[in-house]
Amino acid sequence: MKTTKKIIFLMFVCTLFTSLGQVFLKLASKNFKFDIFKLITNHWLIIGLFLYVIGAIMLIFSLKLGELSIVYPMVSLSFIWVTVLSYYYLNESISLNKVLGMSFIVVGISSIGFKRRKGV
Amino acid sequence: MLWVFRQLGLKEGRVFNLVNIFAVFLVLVASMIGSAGSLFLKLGADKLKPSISRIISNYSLIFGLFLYGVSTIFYVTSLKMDDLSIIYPITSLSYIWTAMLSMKFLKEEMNIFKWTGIFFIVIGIIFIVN
Repeated sequence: MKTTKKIIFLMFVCTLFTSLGQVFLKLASKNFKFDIFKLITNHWLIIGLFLYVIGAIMLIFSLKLGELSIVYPMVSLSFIWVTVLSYYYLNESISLNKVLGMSFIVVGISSIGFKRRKGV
Repeated sequence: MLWVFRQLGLKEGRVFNLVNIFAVFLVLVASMIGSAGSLFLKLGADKLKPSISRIISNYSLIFGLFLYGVSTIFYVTSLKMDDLSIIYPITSLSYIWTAMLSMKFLKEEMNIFKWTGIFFIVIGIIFIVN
């Protein structure tokens, strides 16, 4: 179906935005203080929140147009991107525990999106 | 607060341990506040009309957004203390709180897939936190 393809594409872009937003939020957290001037001049924070909001708007549209059983498995992609991005750009480690945990979370979130065919 | 935890940790020679537990606690609180925010956004969305005066007087919507803001403060504070690749997966806890809140307050039904999903998410987080 055409709409399904569009939703998958939209969600793909959405998860990329959300994950990039997370990397910027992490960079922002180093200078995160409860001081209005510091908050306004924290450009990583502003970029991070901006990407995050764009991702959220895309997610809302996808949820409105698409089926949960397609949208939710796509949402869990962002957990994979974040692990990969933090490995490359934040020098964080990837361990077996992280990969295993991530796989369980991806399966879990995907599962929440499924529903019974007959009892709808 | 962070300083107190650092001092405690230094004395016992396990500085990162205590900070990490505190970071996990903060993101736990953040995910709970965020889920409460989603609940209010849902209540607000049901009354949503494309009129500015209606949006401003839509208290559920505004309160939901406010809770999102508070949750972000907790979240970024926890990011300060630990790796993104550990903290971000823990935010998937919010799926569990949201499922429970929707069941209780929106009368949405649980099914076998949702319970399985919650089970898998919990196992996943246990692996990551360890």
